[in-house]
Amino acid sequence: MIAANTKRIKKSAADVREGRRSMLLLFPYAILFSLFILVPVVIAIALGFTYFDVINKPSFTGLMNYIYLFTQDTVFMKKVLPNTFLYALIVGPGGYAISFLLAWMLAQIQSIPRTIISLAIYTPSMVGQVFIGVVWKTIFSGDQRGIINNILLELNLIDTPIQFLLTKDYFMQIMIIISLWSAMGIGFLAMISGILNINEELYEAAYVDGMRNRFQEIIYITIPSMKPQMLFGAVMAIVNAFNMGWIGVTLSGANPTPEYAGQLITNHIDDYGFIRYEMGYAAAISLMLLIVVYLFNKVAHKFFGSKDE
Amino acid sequence: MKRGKITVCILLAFVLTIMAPATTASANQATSYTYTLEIKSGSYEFPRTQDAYLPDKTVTKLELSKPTDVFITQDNRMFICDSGNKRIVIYNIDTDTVVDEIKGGELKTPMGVFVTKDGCIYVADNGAKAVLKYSPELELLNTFTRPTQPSFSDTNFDPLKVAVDNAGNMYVISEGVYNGIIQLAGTGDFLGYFAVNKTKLTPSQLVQKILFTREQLANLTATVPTTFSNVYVDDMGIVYSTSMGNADECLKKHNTSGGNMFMEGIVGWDDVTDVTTDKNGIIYTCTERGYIEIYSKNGEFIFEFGSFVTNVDIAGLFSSLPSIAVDNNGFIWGVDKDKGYLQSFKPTDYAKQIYGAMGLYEAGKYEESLSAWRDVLRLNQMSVLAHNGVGKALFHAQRYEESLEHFEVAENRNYYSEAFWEVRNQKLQVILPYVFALIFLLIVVNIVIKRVDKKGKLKNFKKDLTNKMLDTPVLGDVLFMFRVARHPGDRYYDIRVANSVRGASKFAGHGHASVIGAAIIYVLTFITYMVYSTMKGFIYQYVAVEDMDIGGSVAGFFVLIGLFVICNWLVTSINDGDGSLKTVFILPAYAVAPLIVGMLSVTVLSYAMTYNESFILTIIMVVTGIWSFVNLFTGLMNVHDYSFGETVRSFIITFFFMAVAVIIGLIVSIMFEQLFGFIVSVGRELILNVI
Repeated sequence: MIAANTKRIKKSAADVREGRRSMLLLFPYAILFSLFILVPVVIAIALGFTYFDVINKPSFTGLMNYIYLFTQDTVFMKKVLPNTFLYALIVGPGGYAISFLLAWMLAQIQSIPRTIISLAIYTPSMVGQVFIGVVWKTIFSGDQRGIINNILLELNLIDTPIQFLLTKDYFMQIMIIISLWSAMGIGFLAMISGILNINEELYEAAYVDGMRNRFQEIIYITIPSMKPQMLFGAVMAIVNAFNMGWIGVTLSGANPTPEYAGQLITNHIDDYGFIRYEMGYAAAISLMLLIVVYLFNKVAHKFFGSKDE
Repeated sequence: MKRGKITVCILLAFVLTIMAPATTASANQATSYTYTLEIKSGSYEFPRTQDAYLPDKTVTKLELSKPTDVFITQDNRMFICDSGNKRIVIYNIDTDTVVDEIKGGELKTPMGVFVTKDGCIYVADNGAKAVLKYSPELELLNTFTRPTQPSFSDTNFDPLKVAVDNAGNMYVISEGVYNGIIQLAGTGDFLGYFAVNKTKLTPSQLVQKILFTREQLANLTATVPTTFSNVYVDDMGIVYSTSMGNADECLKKHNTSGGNMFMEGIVGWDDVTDVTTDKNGIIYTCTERGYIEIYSKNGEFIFEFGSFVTNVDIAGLFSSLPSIAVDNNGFIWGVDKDKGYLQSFKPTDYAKQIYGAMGLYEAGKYEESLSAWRDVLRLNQMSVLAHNGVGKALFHAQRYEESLEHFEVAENRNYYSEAFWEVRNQKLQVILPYVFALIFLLIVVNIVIKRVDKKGKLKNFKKDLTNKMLDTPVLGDVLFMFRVARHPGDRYYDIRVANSVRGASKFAGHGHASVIGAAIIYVLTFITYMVYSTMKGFIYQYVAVEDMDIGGSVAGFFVLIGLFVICNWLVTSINDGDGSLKTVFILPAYAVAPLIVGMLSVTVLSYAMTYNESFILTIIMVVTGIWSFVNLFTGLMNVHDYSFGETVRSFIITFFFMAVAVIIGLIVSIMFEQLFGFIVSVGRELILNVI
């Protein structure tokens, strides 16, 4: 009995020493992580319950920010929220589907053209902001030198050039088109590598078992074999869909966007945080955004997450 | 005493009977009906409404010959362009006398007249090819002939109408000029073309323009824009113009650069000859055939009256109406070109109340305009205009809840949506705390259940219950469609195995597809579809139930499904398809589960959504529609054991075959109708001649 007890004590002492050692090894990372990620997030959440204008000390206001957000902020309820949902519902799944399809198609061709084409497809997401400034602004320019306006005028379909980027009528649609065009980001690259990593023998075996076509290939072999990459792509797509507010600002050159037509939650946060300097309120909206993104990620995990998680 | 009372009674009754017809007679002076505009289920209707104007005075003593234009100044003097007699008559409306006239050598064929605020008279003279300017004392000040500027080149200058803005610029409409309204500076210099009517190309012309060479294009008949028929400048200096030939462009209110301020289009006719405004900004137009339309400041159609007659002398009806003007008292004066007389129209109380309410609303006095519109409603319960007015006034007074019913009557869905947003927002603010509390509670309950129920008993219970339901004969057959929707490929494979392989016993899993189940699902789908198309919330229910062809949709729905099933079976059975008629009948039914759910949820949500969130409904319908189609497609692929390409081909052939079947059906039914008619006529003949 006693012997057993001392043994246990001895063992736990060894454990503690072991623990100390790993703590020591963990220390640099823990410091950096808490300094640059954990503390700011906690502070941001805490700021959400205060009124803070950057100059004065934050004053605690309880849930006032959240109450204001849902009851008084008509811009948020009437424009920002519907805009964000519309945008995220189309750009999220749409961009994801396009990414997968392009990745799958690219995986079918030889290595050298694949590399070149995938680089070309990936470029927009890398240099998007510059591209938008140069290419898309020329295409949708509001005078008769804008490419689309020019064509429409030429065909006599319109009398005066349409102010694509300064009126609310077309703004959202243009934002969505551009976002879909630049949706092939990191998730897309991950998907290509995921598809290329699938064991060819799986397909052969499946064909022996009676698989008939490419469609079944995708459904029964490709997607199940690359769940981690699919999950990664989905998470990236969701984060992207809620984070691309800058497109509207770049296009119109102003925050808020024309008549709030392209105002997403991130623009609203920018608007309150860095234009009106109401940091407390901006932090509260950020927390709401965080919750929404988290919920969508949950859904993605449900589809592609592995069972043992 | 008693006797006296009776006499009084009799006398009173006598007086009343005499009085009664007298009052009705005075209300019946109108010689034409007044119509207002109603947009019902998306189409324009012109229902009759109370008389807005009554014919008042008919002035024949001026002995006009082919009058072409009238203009009334603020002091109620009317300038009549008497082109047949080559003169301008000045007639005082208040005293009913001719004050003066301009008649001189320089007037050849005056066609249009305009008087500025300071009394200068401008005459567009077609014969003299010039615009003449007279001083208030009727002395000729200026003759503006063809501008000499090179930019005017050799364009015609045969002025028909003229108007002058507050800066002294002239707007001239000239015969045979398609470029627009000629704008001249006060000095007579050509400034440019003011507004331009664009040529509107038809789709075929557009294709021609893209494809043809320059020579081929030159050979085509030139398309010319609709020509301006009149121009007018109101007290504020705003230019109005009318055009003939295209009802969409009949009336325009121009901004300073010549653009059209009536962006949303205007309801009118294609023979509008004149436009004028009164001091409240109400716009009056007239058409050649003798109708007079009245629009609000913003181009909303208020009402119109008049009638088209030839050679009947009834006060208030014109054989040709080239011009109207409105005097100080709001009376409309029209001139008959053929018969050469003036006719005035007196606004009724009904019209006056509408104008008054509009003016109050424009001025931002919403509370007062509210009561004014209510007065109009008292006169006409169904007036769309008044309901709109009351609704908007309430809306601006932030009484959203009350405004809803008025917008509903007026079928003003955009404003209804806006008002509903506000109402919903107010309710949301009350409910929101409870919703959050509920969500929080659910999360807590969920966590607790997970903690307590570690073995997953509840989960298993739920699973057992669904399996039990799926195993119930008929109910299970129907519910099976949801399993199909989740894994269409696998389930349709099951359906195929269960129905085609002889002696195959039950497959693994719960529930199975059956003919009874499919039939029930078809009926369910139909009921859902009817609910979806008739019971949506007001702003999404564009077509009223009473305007719908219910019988047609019943027949259409079932005929379409029957056709699809039979055609697909016929097409696939000669194309190596494995499906039997039974499986082909079952197949589409089990594909539509997402669409049923989609239609039901959209119907429910349409009561809670404004136009602001309409995209949610669109997305639901698109997603469930595509989902159902994918189900159907995989179903066909599996049941017939087709490849992707074969399935697409069989789809196309099926639809082609359906179209052919419909056409044959139509021909046969028409022939039977003829046969029936023939038999009936033979029978009649027999009855008439033999018996």
